[in-house]
Amino acid sequence: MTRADVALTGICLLAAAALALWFVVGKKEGRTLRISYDGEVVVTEAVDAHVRPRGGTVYYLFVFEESGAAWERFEAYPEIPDGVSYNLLSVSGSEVSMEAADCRDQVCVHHIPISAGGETIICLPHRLIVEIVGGRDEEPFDGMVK
Amino acid sequence: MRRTVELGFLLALALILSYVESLIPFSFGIPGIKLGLPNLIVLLLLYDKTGGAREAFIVNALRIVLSGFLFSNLYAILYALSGAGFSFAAMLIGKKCGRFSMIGVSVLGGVFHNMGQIVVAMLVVETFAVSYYVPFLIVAGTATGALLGVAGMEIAPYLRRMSSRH
Repeated sequence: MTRADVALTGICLLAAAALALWFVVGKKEGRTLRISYDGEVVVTEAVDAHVRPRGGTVYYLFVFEESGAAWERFEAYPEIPDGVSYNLLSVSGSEVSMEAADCRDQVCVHHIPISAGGETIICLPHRLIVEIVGGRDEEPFDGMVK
Repeated sequence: MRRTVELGFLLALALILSYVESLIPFSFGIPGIKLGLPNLIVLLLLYDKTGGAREAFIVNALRIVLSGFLFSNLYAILYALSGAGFSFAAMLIGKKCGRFSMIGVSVLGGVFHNMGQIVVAMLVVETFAVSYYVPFLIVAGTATGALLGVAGMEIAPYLRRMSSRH
């Protein structure tokens, strides 16, 4: 182990710490869940604990076909049709997490639940981005926007 | 001819390491963090006296394509190739500049592998949102890189002995 090794390791860890600090300082309390498919915003939903008290979990089911994607909002755990390409997202209180997906790697399903502004869950195979955005100034609108 | 056999052997070893890695349930809830065990072979080849960068590059590329078709899919191959491209370039430059030991070179490889994948992820999903993962991935790349570097330093003498035994 040379001195350059130690310096390099130190620089890497410092850079990571600085970036993490920058993200934490700049972190806004997330107010809105935003889901994008193929680069376009398809769903926005308020994830404020005041708007939705705990217990009222909602689900978004995305089904992907050759022609495009279709999505639907459910108040209870939906039944997933057989043999389709899908993502199932749950919103519970202010926590958003991917419940299930049919992809092989399951990266998004293993992702920790997100709740703070700037956090994301991304499903690369389906080009689906789930993110928490906005502060108070960005007025969230409830429900579905197509 | 003998060298071809040795490289084939190392390629097989890299594929086994890919398989072993795919079996380890190693999830921190942050996508993209993995041990990078097959990079150990690339590192060893890069430091192998008889071979060098060209052989390391060829084995690395073959390893990715073969393990991609064996254990994952075309999508994953593209990601792996971009990560490996960045990683290999960084390791090569790191080694050429001569100031680092195997550990430093391996750390460079680990960190740049993750950066390469982040860049491709940004291009594919067309968002900067993934930059949120960068600090985690730097730390992970540094840690796994250092571990593999230590392992590489231990293994290198044995590999040299194997190569010189005719």
